[in-house]
Amino acid sequence: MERLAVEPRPDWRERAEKIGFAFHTINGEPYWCEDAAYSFTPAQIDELDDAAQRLEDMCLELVDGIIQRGDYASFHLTDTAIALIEQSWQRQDKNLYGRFDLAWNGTGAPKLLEYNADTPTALYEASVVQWEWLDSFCNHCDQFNGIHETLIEAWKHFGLWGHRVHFTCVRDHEEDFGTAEYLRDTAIQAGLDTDRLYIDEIGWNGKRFVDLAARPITVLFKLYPWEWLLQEEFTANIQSSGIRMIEPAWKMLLSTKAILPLLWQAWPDHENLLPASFDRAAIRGPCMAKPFWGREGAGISRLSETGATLDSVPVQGDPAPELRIYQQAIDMPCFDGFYPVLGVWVVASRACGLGIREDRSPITRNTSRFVPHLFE
Amino acid sequence: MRKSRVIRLALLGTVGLVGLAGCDDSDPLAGHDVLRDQKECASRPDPDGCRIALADARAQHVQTAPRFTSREECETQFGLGNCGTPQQILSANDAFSTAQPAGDPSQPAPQPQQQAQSSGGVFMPMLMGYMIGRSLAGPSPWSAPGAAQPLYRDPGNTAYTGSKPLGQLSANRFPDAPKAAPGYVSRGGFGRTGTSYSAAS
Repeated sequence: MERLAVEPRPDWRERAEKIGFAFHTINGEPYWCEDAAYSFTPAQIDELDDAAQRLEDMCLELVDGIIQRGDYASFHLTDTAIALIEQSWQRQDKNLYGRFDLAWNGTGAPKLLEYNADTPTALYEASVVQWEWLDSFCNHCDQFNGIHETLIEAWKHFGLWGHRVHFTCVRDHEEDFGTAEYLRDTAIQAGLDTDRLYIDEIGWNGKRFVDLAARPITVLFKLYPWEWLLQEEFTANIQSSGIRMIEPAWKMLLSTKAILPLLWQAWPDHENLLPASFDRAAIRGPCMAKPFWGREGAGISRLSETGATLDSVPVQGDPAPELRIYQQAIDMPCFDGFYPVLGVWVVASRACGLGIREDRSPITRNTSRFVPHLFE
Repeated sequence: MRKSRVIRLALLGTVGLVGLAGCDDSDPLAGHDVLRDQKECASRPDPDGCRIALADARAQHVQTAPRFTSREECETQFGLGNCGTPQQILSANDAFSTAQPAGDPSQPAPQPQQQAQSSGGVFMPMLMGYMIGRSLAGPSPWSAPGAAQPLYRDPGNTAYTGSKPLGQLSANRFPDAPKAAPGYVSRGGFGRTGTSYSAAS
C-alpha cells in the first residue's frame, strides 16, 4: 500500500460534472481529490475484501443471535424500535448496502473502526467517479470496484416486481440527493419502477404511506437514519402500514456503535477487531470514546489514560449523545501527513468495492477528502 | 476488479445531479411574503409592481396547479370543497383578481357543482394566495415573470406551490384552512430531525 502523488487531470471538474458528480467541492474545498491515489497489490486487495466479508458475516450472525434471544439491553432502543426490528427480520427484509471503515497500512490485519450500516454515503464517488478516473489514468491498472453491477444485481433479487420503490432523502442537501439518485438509477437499471420525493413530503392517509400523487408507498428507500425516524411522528405507523424500508429496521442493530463491544465480546481477539467495551476501565491505554449514533466523526473523543479529552468534534442530531462506547485507540496509519480510512463497501451483504477518504486529522469527518485507488 | 467494464447510468446525465445545489434555507417561505390577494399589495413598497406580479401568477396558476383525475383525490390532499375543474377554479379565482378581496361576501363563494362529473376530468385546488419575494428597495423585480407564485394549502394549513409543500402558514393570519376530506393525507410526519443536516455517515 502506497500513496502516490498524481497529476490531477486539468479538466477534472468538467469531467466530474459530466458524470453528474456535483459535490466534488464542499465549502470551497475540493472534496474529490486526484492529486493523490492509493496503490495496492492484488494480495492486499484480497485481504481487504476478505476482512470486510468476514465482518459482514459476523454482523449478520450477531443480529440473528440478538433477535433470537431478545437481548436488546445494550442498544437502549424503544419498544417501537424493537417491534420494527423483529418484524423486518422475521419478514426477511433484505438489506442493500453498508460500508466498513477500516484502518490499515497494508501490513498485518485491517482493523474495524466502525460500520456504517444504515445511511452510508461517498458511494457514487467510490462506484463511478473513481472508476472514471482510473479509466483515464492507467490502462493496465485495476480497482477494487464492483459496486455498480453488484447494486443492480442486488435490486433484481429484492423480490420487488410489481412494486414501485420510492426513494427519499432530506431536501436541500446535494450530497444526499446525489446518493439517493444514484441508487435509484441502479434500481431502474434492474428493471424496477421508481419515484422520488423528499422525506417531509411523505404523506399518511390513516392506513398507508402515500406519495405526492396520493399513491401508496409500499417500498421506501430512505437515506435518513433510523434513529432520526424513531424521534418522529409517522414512525408509529410503520408497523401497521406494512411498508418495507431500505435499509430494513433490523439494520438499527448494526448502525450503532454498540455493535463494536458486542462484536468484541462474541469474537474476542479477532484479528479484524479492536478491543471495545461499554466500560472505559475495560480498555487499556488511550481509547476513542464514540457516541452510539454519531455521524461523520461527530462526537468522537480521544481519551488518554488519565481520561482527559484530547480531541473532539461536535455532535448533530444524536438522540442520546451520553451513550458511548470505548474502543482502543491505535496509531492511525499516516501517509504524507494524511490519515486514510479504507471504506469497504458491502452490497446485499457482499463485499464489492473500496473508497478511501483521508484527512489531516486522525478522525475522518464530513469534510475529509475522497481519493481514488488502484491496484496492479 | 473488472477492468473492461463500462458503467452505464440510466438517469444521470439526463436528469443529472447537477443544478440542485442545496441552499441552507430550511424554510422555503423565509424571505417571502404570503399575500392573499391584490388588495394586500397596497401596504407594500411597490404596490403596482406587486399587483402585476400577482396578476401574472394568477394567470399561470391554472397551468401549473397540481392536477388530479378526480375531485376526491384532489380533496384528499387539499381539503373538502377546495377543489374544482379548471373552469370552476378560474371563475372562483376571479374573486381574487381586482378590487375585491378573497372571500368577500358580495362575491359568490366557489361551490363545487353537484352536477359536475367527479371523475374523468381534471381537478385542481383553489388558489389561496401568493408568495412574493420580500425585496424592499431598488427598482421592483416584481413585474418579472415568476416574481410571485401561486399558493395552495391543505387542511393542515401547509402552503404548497405546485405539489411541493413549503411549510406551515401562520394560523393567526390564515385561519380558514379547508376542512379535511375523509381521506385526508397528513404530511410532514417524517423529516423534522434532519432539516438542518445531512444523513451521511
